[in-house]
Parts: sequence; C-alpha cells; structure tokens
Amino acid sequence: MLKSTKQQGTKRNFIDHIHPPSVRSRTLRPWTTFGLGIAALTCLFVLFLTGITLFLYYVPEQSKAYERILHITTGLRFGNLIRNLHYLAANGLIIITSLHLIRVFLTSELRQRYLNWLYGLVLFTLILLSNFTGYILPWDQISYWAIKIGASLAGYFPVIGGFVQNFLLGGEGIGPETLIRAFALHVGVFPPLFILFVALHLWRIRKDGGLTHPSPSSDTTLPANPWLYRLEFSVFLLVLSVLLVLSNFIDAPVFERANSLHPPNPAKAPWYFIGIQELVSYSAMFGGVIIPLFMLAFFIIAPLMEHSQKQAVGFFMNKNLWVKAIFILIIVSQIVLIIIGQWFRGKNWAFIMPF
Amino acid sequence: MKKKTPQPVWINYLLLGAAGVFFLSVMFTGWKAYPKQNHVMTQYIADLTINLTGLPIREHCTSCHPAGRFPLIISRKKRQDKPHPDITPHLTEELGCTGCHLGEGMAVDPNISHGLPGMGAREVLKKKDVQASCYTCHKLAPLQGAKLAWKGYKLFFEKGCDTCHFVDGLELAGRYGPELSTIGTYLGLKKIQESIKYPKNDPVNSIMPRIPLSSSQIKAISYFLKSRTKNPAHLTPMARNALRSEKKVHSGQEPSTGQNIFKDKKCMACHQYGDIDGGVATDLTFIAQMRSKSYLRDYLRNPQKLVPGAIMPVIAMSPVEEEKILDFLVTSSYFTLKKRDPKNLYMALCQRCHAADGNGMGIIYKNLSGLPRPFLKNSDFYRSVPQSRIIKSVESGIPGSAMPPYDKILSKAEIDSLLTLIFDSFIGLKRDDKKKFATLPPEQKNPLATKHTKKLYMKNCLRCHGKFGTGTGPEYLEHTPRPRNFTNNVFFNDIEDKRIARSIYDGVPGTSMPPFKTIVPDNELWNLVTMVRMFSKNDD
Repeated sequence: MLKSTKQQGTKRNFIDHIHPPSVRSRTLRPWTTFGLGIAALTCLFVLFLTGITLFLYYVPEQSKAYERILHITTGLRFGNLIRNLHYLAANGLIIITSLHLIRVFLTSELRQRYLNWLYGLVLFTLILLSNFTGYILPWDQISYWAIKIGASLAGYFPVIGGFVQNFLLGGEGIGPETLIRAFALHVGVFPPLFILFVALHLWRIRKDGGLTHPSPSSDTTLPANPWLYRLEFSVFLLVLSVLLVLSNFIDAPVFERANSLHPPNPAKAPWYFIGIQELVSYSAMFGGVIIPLFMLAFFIIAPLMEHSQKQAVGFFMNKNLWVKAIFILIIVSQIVLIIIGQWFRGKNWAFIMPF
Repeated sequence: MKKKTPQPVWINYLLLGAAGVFFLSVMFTGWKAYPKQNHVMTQYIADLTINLTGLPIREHCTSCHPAGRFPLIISRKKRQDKPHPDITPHLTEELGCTGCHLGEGMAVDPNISHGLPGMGAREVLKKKDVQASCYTCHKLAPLQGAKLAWKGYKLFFEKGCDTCHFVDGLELAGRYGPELSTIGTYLGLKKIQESIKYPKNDPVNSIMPRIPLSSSQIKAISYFLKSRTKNPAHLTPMARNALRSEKKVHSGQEPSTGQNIFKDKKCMACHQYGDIDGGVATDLTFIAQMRSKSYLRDYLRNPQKLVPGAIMPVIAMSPVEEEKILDFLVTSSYFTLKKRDPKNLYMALCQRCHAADGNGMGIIYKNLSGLPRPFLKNSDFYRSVPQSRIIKSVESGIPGSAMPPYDKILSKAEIDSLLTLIFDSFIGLKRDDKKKFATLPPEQKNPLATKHTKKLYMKNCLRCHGKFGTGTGPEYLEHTPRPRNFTNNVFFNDIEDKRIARSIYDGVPGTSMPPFKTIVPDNELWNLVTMVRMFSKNDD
C-alpha cells in the first residue's frame, strides 16, 4: 500500500495534498483527538451547503425577513429540515470547536505551533460572530432583543466599544440597516474568511509536522491512505448522521414578530454570550470589560508560558500548573455562568429555579 | 524499511458502521419529511398577493381555508368547507385574509399561521373579534358590524382613558400614561384586555388605577385599541402629519359654564361628586367646603406637589377653564350631610378609603398615595399614638396625603363621637388606653449626617425606603402599607423630630417598620432623624 502511494506521486489529488503520506499509529487512536477537528469541518460543510439553500429564499428586509423565515420553515418542502440542520450545525460547531480548543490546549505543545493556535482563535471568533449575525436574521422577538443586548454588551468596551456597536447596528440603534449589515457579514464576509483560515489552519498542521507527539517516539507509522482517510470519513458520516437525526426532533426556534416596544422579560443574549451577560449583571466594568479582556489576553499569551524544553504530550502535560489552573477556571466558570444565565434567570434577571 | 506494523483493521468496521448509521438516518429523515398522503403539502400551496392601500401582502391562507371559513381538514372524513360570510360591500378576493383577521399569512402551519403566543400581536381574530380591525381602515364613525368597537371608542373617552393616554389623531389628550397610538401593532386583544383589567400585573409598580368596567366594556375598549396601528390604512403619512399639527390645544371659543367643564374634563370618570361616582379616586362632594380655593388651584396645577405619590394627572385646561371649575366647586357647595349620626358619617366620609369593615382597603385604596390607616386589628398602632394626634388628623387632615381636614363640615362633638365609634367597633380599644414608652436618648443636633450614619442607613433603611428616601427601595412592593416616602416634604414639614425618632426607636406598630433601638446606637438615632430631614427638605 505504501508503494502505491509513492507511485501515485504525480497524480496526487487535493485530499492527498492536505494529508501526510503516513501517520503515527497514535494519531489514529480515537482518544488522541476524539475526531473533533473533522467533526467541526463536517459542521462547517453542512453549514455551507444548507446556507446556500437558505440564501435562495431569504430576504434581508425588516418587513419581509420574518415572513420569509415562516415561508421557508412551513411552506417549502424540506425547508424546515434545511433550517434545522443549519441551526444545529451552527450550535454544534460552537460546542465542538470549544471541545477542540480544550483538547488542543491540554494535550499539545503549543509554543512550537503558536501561529496555528492563533489561527484557531481567529476561527473561533469567526464562528461566534457568524452565529451571532445568523441569530439575528429571522428578525423575531428573541433575535431582535438578542442583538440589542449583544450590541450593548459590545458597548461596554472602552474606546472601541462604541465603534463596534455602531458598526454592528449600522447606526446608533437597531434600524433597517442592522439587518442588511448582519446579513452581509453572515453570507458575504465570514464564509470567505472561513475558507481562508480553515485552509491556513490545515496547512499549518502539516507544516508543523502533524499532531504533536511524544519524542522520541516509540510509535509505529501507518500509511494515511487508506487508514486516516477511512477514519476521517467515518467521523464525517457519524457527525452527519447525528445532525440529520437531531434535525428531525429539534426545531430551529421561531418566535413572534420583533416587537420593538415590548421586550421579553428577561431578554437574553444567545446562549454562547449569556456567560458574559451574567457577568455584566454583577458588574458592567468587570463582567463586560475586564474579565473578557483578561480571557482574550490569556488565550493569546498562554501558549507562550509553557515549558519549552520538555517534549511531553498527553493530557495535562507540558504546562505550568497555574496556566492549567487558569484555563480550567475560565472554561468551568463560563459553563457554570451559561447554565445559570440560561436556566436560572427569570423575570428582571432574578434568580429562579428552572422547575 | 519500516518494521511491519499491525494494521488498524477496526477502522474498516467503524467505517462500515458509520456508513450504515448514515444510511439509516437518511432513510429515517426521508421517511419523516416525506409528505403524508392527503396532506395539504402534497396538493398545492395557495400563494396570493393582495394589494392593501399600496402595501402588497402575500398570503398562503387559502391553502387550508379554500372557501374562507373552516379549514379543509384532509383526512378520511372530509369536512365540507363553508363559504366566508357575506361581507358586502367588501370582497374577500380584494381584501385577502390577514388584513382583517391578522395571523401570519406566509406560514403554512396550524400553530404559526394563527399567530405565535407571547404578546399575541398577530393572533388571529375570529368571529366577533374581527371588528377590532375595522377602524384600522375606516374612519372613526358608527359602522355596521363594528358596534362593539364603536362602543369601545366612546367608552375610551367616557371613562376618561384619554385623560392619561394619548391616542394619535384624536382630540386633545393627556401624556401621563403610555401613548396608545400604535398599541394594536404590538399587543394582542387578550393582552390589552388583561392590562385594562389587571393594570398592576405587569409591571407590578404600575400606577394605573383599576377602572371599574364590566368585561364586555373592557372587550369593547380592547377592540378599539387593537385598531390603533402603526400604519393605519385610512391615513396617508401626510394626512397623519396634518392631523398632528391640527390638534387644538385650547379652542379660542368661550368655554361653557363651570359645571359643563367639570363634566367635559371627565372629573367624575374617577372621582365621586354627589351621586355620580367613577369609583377610582377620592370623593369631591365636600371638597370645596373642606379645602380653600387656592389649595384646590395648586392641586389642579400640580397634584404631586401637595400629595407626593398621587396618581392624578395634570389635566390640560386653560386658565379660564380652571377658574370656572374652581368657581363652580366653591360656589355650588350645595351638598349637606343629612344624617349626622356617627355610623352614617362613617359611611359617608370614611368608608370610601378606610373601608366599611375598617381594614383600610376601601374601594379606592390602591389608587391613593398610601394605604389609608387600617382600624381593624390595628390596636397596637392606636395604642402608641397620642389622643391629640388622632383628633388633629381628623380635624385638620394629614398633609401630603389624601386625608382632608374635616373640621369645616363636622363639629368637634361629631368628630369625637365618630372616633368613639371607630375605637369601639373597629379598633377594640379604649380611647385612653395608651402605651407608655421608654424615654428617647437625649437629643443631639448634628447639622450633617456623618459617614457612619449613611452606612447605617444603607444597611438598615435602604431596602425599603430607597437610596434617595423615596420609599421605593428594592423591597418596597412587599410591604403594605408601603414604606414612608421621606421626600414627602408636605408631610414631614408638619411633624416633629421627636415623632421621627420615636418611629425609628420603637418602630411603627401595624406596619413593617420594626423597632431599631437595639440596632441603632443611641448617639446615631438623632443623626438618622437628620438624615430623614435632609431627604424631606423642601427644595423650592
């Protein structure tokens, strides 16, 4: 098999190109990566595919957008399925990439791969921004007030906050420009950026020598074709199946028409920003500015604080204890805050029991 | 050469399994999404575009309601569709469905198409409720088929709703409550009815009084309000603007008699005057005999200045009209109390606020700036209040509250007998049964509250009395009677420091105010009094 790969050298296709000719047997073990990277790529693939379909029917205009969403959801054959898939893949992407980020941070030696870590952070930011701009497009009650909250969260940032808010809303407040802007960003700006950064991200993995591995390695190597390909294809199919099955049971939400005079009580940000909203409810300065800035700064500089000498790989290796501690603190606190914000907050943001 | 490695054959099985799972999920999805036989989706989706006053409206409604009435339920038992009732001179083909019935025309789903829950702004209007849409196109005039909506329009003025709420395009109206010009676009019928019926449900601190209305009257008003929409079809934007500027603030013509103005301004939509009773606000029958003309004038011009927390709006009127109303009230004090025994006096003068059973919850108590002092089960309070203060409250009223002075219409003996009645039948206390208090710590005068005092206030008082002493701290809604509003300078100008100190030191029985003598150190007591005085300082 190895021979055949070599012989194909001149006719290697694109798939061959982004893969190494051979991989270590460790790479193929499920618990090394959990297949999260491929799962994320699968979600992205589904998003592009369903996104193009939705693109054909959606109209980014305040008086039409909501009706168009209803038309897609109820009037078109498979329209609901497509929209559910888009919704599930989008939210799945956030969860999967978060897990991917955690896995990479805890197992890899990032100092050598700092550039790719930064690409990953850019991709994660793009995912959040795409999700947020997509959340707005149905223009129903929940999305209308989510953008209001999202924009005001952005407004807490000193110096650039006001600018970001103005840019997102296309003016001082939510107006007809807001929807067009969100739409343009969602379908015109972010997708090409995704393609660019995903390409860079994948290319960098090869450049950096594949997955990080213990050195000196006692691992044996195996040809990527067919083992890696088959494994990746299996993950692809499994993720696709999960999305398909779930899309039969979980409906993408649609609420009442946007009502600019009567906010829902409580008005909540999309779930991935609820952690920040919860923090802001305690203190605008700390929760809206200092803590998010600290988290961002930590993610950017954390890989530089590693021991550079040791080549240890595996969970919790090769990291300073306190770097690990801060990382886990950030992740756990965000999860707890999101849970509190999503299920334990009732009218006027008062604490309630969800049952 | 690399050494021979074991091949990860499990990947093959995984791939096989994944392919199987994928195949099954595709089949499952296909089966789920495949249109069921005889379902509307297998047939056709009606797609109509109707032009209503220049606004194209697209609808799928007739997919399920082909003839416009009952839905076509396509199952084994076919249900015959009935035609839409005759609505000549209208034509259903011209008007479409959602123009009158609302709902979401672009959806083909039994739940979504009929308007999603929440505010219910687009909830489908069925049967008689359709008349809520008539006046979105038609001008406000009696209209066949919209009798209730027309009645609602008239009630809106009769009941004095316009005294507080502004509705665009109508006559001069108040701006005291929220503007209702576009309410129909944002709220559903049920939500509007609920807000009229239970005004204090949401928000809980709403000051809107509960107007005594029957449920059919509420329905009628809600029909009228539902027709107040953002883009009424009968008005072009230009016509709307013209209406706005055309509004008469004060007509130049000579106002009619004071009595007519008194009626025109709908005072009795809330107040009682003689036999006419709005059931919302205080009794004005004897007001001119009890209060001076200048007091009434000041009150009309700014009710909150004399009774902080009063919910009465400033009524828009010209100085001439104001003078005529006052003259009418003062000169026509015809009413006299015929039966002057204590029981009848209580029912005529006290019962409206203090309630017939003396629990302080008379019919209008919710609309007053504070809870009328309860008599029933409140003996602790009366035991702690000196006799002279009780008599003074009746004789000269309580400044800064709705309690008027009664010394002009009642004799001293009558007041005395009234009090005896109240003490005997409600409070259950002998009039001279008074509690003996421990002496207060020696008075110290500090011109300024210290940092420590402020901390003490923050810790113990703020929860109820609020950061600025307005009586609206975070917990204020949990207490009845509500915490004292320290900024009520009219009230505080009238009382002594000693009483404030006593209330802090020993608490106020019958209210949520607990004694603070163990919490507040002796040397801080008078500093707190100073602090209360700072809140209630007259700023004018």
